[in-house]
Amino acid sequence: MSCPDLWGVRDDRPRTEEDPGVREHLQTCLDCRRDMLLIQAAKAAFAPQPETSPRLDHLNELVLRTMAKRRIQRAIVRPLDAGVTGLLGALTVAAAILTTGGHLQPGATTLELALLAAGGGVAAAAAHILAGRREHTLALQAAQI
Amino acid sequence: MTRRFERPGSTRGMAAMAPALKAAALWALGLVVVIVVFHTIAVAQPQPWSGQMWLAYVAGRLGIVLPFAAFAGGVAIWERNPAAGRTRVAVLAGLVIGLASYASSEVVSPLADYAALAGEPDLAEIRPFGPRTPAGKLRQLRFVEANPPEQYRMGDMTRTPPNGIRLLLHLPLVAVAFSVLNSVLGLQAARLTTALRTPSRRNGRLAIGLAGGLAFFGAVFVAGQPGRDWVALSGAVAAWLPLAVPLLEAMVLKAMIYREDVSVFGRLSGRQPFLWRGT
Repeated sequence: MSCPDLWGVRDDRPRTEEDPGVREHLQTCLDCRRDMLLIQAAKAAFAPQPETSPRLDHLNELVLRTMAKRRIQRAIVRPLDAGVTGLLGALTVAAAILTTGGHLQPGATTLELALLAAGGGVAAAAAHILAGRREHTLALQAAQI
Repeated sequence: MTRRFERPGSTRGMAAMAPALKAAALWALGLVVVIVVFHTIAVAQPQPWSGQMWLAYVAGRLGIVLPFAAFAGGVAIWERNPAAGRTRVAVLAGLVIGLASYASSEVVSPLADYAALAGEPDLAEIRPFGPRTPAGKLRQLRFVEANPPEQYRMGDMTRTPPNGIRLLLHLPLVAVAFSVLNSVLGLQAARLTTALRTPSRRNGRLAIGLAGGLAFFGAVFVAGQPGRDWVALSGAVAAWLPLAVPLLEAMVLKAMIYREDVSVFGRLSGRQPFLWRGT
């Protein structure tokens, strides 16, 4: 028997019988036996592994869930954050008025400057809290998707 | 139109600068509104201001505030632009903001002020060299150099020391340079704080911007003290020297970014970070 096309004739699927002619030829032909081993190795290397895909899916899901959770937690504006923003906002307003010479003009008092700076601080803190809430909502929505 | 060799995702021109200009404009307008509210509520007005006087006041304040608001522009560039060419966009945006500040404080404000005073009978005494634009200041400088008084005095238009006038001529140009630097500083601050929690990141950026702006203003205030000997001191040097403060800040931020990058990538590659060796 001449050497058969092993890719074509050999069927590795379970519960399929091997062609007796091919089996006999493989026992006698050393080249075909080597080819057969190579084919089996290549098929094993490229065969889909049913266990890998669900495991990767699970890991991806875990990573995504952790990231979403972290993003949700990081968006929350704590009272201390709002307090720091308020202080920085008040300082910014006071600096803007003082550096442009507002306090040097007739009639301007420190009380008025302090009141306006405090108002600026409260507005900055409120804006920060609102921005944090918006970001928190967006992060929650993204996590649900 | 996209050029053939353009990097994917990069944007050019005004479109790239738009977020920076918008952020800087919002911050500047917010601060000017606060200043105007304070002026309206707290400052005693002997007579109501005309529209031209308001324009002069608002344009002058906008010119002062805009270079400081350029920091917000730099932060916006980090948030909205693709990685390629961020620094170039920050420099261009800073330049545009600086030029807007120059036009506002050195052209619009003095011209509106001069127009508001046009009906005054003693206009020639109040503004002997015309509007206080750069051209008007140059006229004043030429006059003082040609007719040196017996004793110089800051505040008196015809007896101001030439170096005092040079200081006033150079300061708006320094503000343009500061706008460029401040925009880049905003970009660096945004890069440095990007790993922080969102609220801490916002506060950190605001704190860095405020501290940098106050440090620069403090340096300008100290360098430009009217009580100095302006006959001997160079006005140009006094005007440009405060830029050392934002330059130093930029170097410190750059070093911190470098240290962070090296520590992260050094750890990933298994090598000891360069700046940590021997410490």
